[in-house]
Amino acid sequence: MVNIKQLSIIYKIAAFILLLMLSGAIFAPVIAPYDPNQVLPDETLQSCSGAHLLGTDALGRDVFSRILYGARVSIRFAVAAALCTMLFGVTLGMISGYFGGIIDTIIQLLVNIFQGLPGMSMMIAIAGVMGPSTASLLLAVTLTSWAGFSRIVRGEVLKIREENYIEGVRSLGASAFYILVHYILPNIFNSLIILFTVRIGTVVLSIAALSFLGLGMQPPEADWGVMINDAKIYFRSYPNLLLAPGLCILALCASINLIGDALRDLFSIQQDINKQYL
Amino acid sequence: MLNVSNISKEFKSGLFGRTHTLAVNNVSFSIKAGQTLGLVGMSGSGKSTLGRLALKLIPCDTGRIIFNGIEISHYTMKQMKKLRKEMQILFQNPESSLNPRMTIGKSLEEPYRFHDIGDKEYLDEQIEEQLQFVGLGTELLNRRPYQLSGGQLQRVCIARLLLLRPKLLVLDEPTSMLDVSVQAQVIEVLKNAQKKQGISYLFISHDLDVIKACSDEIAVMYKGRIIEQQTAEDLYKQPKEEYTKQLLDTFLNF
Repeated sequence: MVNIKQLSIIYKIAAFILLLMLSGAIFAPVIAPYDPNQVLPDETLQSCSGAHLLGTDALGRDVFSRILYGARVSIRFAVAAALCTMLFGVTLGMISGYFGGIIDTIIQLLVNIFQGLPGMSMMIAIAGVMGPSTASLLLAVTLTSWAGFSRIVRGEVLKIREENYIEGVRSLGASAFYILVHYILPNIFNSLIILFTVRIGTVVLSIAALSFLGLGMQPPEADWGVMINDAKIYFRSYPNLLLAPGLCILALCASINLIGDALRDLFSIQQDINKQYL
Repeated sequence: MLNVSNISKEFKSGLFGRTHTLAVNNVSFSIKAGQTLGLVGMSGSGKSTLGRLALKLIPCDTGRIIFNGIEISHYTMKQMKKLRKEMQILFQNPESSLNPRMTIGKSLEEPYRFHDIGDKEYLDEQIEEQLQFVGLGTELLNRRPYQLSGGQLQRVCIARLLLLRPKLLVLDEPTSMLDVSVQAQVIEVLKNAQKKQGISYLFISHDLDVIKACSDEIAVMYKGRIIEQQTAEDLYKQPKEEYTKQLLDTFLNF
């Protein structure tokens, strides 16, 4: 029996980094020494110092403050996008898996089409056509990632659908909606949490990539992708401008993915324990 | 009570549904009110399928089902909903018969969610009464299925079904996953319920001893057909079919 204390040290470090970033994002207005968009014409392109922990960029904006506010943008958006994707993917996956037949065939056809399209190009196309705005970004991310989600959910539903308790409650007179909400959903919840966590990491990356290409968050918004884009012409002489947001993206994605793995381990072990008692 | 005539069910599987399996082949039987029809046969002979067909949990290909004088063969799922509380099924494996994420109490309240039976107070009273009837206490209500033993779970399942006051119960091998001492208790509970509420049972089992102890009549199923149907006593004394003899012999030798 493995509990949370016995998890590998790597997972604990990941959790620590994530907590650090979350608190940085939440308390950004308190911690940040400068306004992230405050331009200081006399202090451009400074290296790390006591006054500017991570230096300043070409317009004299404090990089440390921008990193903190950038965490807010990234995390907020990633959670929103992951939720949208979940909502869409899980609903369609559950319907597809539970009802089967022609509904399943149609939804799976859509899933195949969307999975066949290259995600990044699709995202660029959608964000490009609709113009850069939060709504179009959300749509771009959701449309390109719901399919994989719904496929996994469908598989889980197919597994649970055959259990006796589903047939039993159906013979009691339960409606399909009731079964989906009270029987299927709670029983696939563990998998959903894991999927959700991993998804957040992927969204952070996609959004940074889009921002870097100028299709995501728009300057002067303090976003990590935007910061990397701003820094690319200076990075030979001022690598701190590029490394700071880059390493932040790396740390956030890596820690979220590791936590997803840790959750999977915990949940799967717990399921085994349940089975043992049965 | 229940009158089933000439029902058949064919399952299609494989690529383009080319493999056909005739699970139930032109079967007829009837169950009188308050009586038990035992259904025996080897695994794969179509017993469970027949039980589910009789309850219309799966649609049949051909044939007629008359329940309580009403023909239900052509009822849609919606029309069936009103009849659902009168015909129920008890499963073989009690461990997978209840939602593992729900407390026992929540599971027991479920029949009332789907059928308008009474208010909350009446509900609690009924749950307590039925739990007592199957020999369990109310302290189980806050537990979850994995914290109960197989016998306890099966009794919870029975209590849950009895709450609806059904007229027909299909018992799909209700004791085969339980050990012998618990088997006897569960059968006792089922018999008492039959006496008290006048329920008809379709008792599916491959265990001839259990069947003999419970059934008024016994039907023998072989390869999707009922090959013989007699009263329990007659069947044991003078089986008509060769297959039934073999079945009885193997069981007695064992």
